[in-house]
Amino acid sequence: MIQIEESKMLFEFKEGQVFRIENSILQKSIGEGIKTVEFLVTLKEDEICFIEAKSSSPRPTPENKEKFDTFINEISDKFLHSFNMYLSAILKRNHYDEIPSALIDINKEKAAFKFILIIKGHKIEWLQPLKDAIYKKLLHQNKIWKNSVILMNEEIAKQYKLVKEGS
Amino acid sequence: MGIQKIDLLNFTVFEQLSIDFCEGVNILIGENGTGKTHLMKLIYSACKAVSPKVSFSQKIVNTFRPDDFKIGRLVNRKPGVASSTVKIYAQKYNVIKNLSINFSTKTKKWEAEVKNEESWEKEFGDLESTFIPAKEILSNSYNIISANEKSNVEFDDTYIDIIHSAKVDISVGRDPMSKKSQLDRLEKIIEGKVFFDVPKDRFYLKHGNSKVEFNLVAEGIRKIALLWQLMKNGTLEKGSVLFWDEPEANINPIHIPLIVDMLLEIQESGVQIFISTHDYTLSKYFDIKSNEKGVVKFHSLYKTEHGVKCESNAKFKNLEMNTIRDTFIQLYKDEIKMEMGS
Repeated sequence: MIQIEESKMLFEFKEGQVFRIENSILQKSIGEGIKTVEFLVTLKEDEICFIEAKSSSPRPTPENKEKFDTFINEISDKFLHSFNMYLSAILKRNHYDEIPSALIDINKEKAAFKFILIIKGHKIEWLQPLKDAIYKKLLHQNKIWKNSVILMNEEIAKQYKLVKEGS
Repeated sequence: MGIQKIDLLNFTVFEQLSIDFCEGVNILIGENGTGKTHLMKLIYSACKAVSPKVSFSQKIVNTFRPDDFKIGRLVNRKPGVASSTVKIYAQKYNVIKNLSINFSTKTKKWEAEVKNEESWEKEFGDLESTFIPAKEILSNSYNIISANEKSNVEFDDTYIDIIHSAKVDISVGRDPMSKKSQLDRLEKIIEGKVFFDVPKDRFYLKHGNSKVEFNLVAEGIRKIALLWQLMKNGTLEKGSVLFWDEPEANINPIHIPLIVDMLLEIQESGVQIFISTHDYTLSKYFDIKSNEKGVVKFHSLYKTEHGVKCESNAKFKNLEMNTIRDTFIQLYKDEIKMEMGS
């Protein structure tokens, strides 16, 4: 099993299910300026989840507008860069040796891609406006690829076995 | 004057309940059938009863419209319950007065026992109050009052009263700067000004030299236009009470922040406000904007085995019983479930 601790949350997956894209050879080989999520994981056949973890987020109030917009831009960039980097790797245009086969040998016609942001201690009712803002920021990307944007707090992430139960 | 409190015993959906109101914006939330409109109509009837020409008990009958005009039909229908009591408290400066009504299932028409009506009239005689019903009515105002008097149509008094209020002649003279700013902001949305054609007995929206029949204007815009008219003609002035049943009905969410701003500014100028809502956006905007201005109190009504109860809090987010928020959360959970495919 592989354990990953991010933003005070513990993730645990089987070997071969997960690719730690952050600080990977893939990222380093491409060069500066590329943002990444924490890791990619596949829990179901032909489904790749891009997981970003945060310990907090700014609320969309008028006084927080600038912080909120910066946060949305940063998270959106991470999903977008990671997605492009991953695709470039499975097309073998960039380094791909470190990526487990379950994430390489996917059915490219059917594979589903999910951008999942997990925020520790976040109230559920604060997730929707954030999700809408990120989805809107990535609207063209999502329309082209039919990607999902999903926001969870730690409690929901445990229900979907993303964060380790009992951690 | 401000409505301070209401005590209810066996009135419609309420068995025993007491609610303390704030001097600012009182926002009633709760699922259908929890008595939000009933509460507002009751308090509105008490506000109208400050006039010697208006009887509290008859006004209740005219705003609730029970069968055969029998006030006794408003007694809680639980087996064994035979009578109902309502007591409403209001304050003006340091004087607190109450108006109460008691009736049973056998009470004839509106012949209820009312206490303190004379002192209520004496103390609060100059109070103005306005009730904006959930359904827009001005577009159908033509001849509606005379038809209602002849019993050709049946509208409760809130509809008849709002037509009367809207028909009040536009106040002459220049509007103060604060009021002008509010009217200007509303005019941008409604793209004109309200015009009441007396000979035709019809409302229009006037823009420059052209005028559009009210019934040809979108319902949401008509509601905002009504607010413009009430502000312009001086109905919503310091010391008055405004009741607005579901302000959000038929209004696009894009206009909700401005409506909330307006209501908070009206409240700050000295108007006490009661609104009922099912809307998340409206409630959240009151939560956010009341940090900067105005006084707001949320009253969440919920059903129990012992009738409808109420939880009050200055913040929407701090209510324990909050069906609007809970539905929103459930919607989000269902959305995640769909997206995750399990």
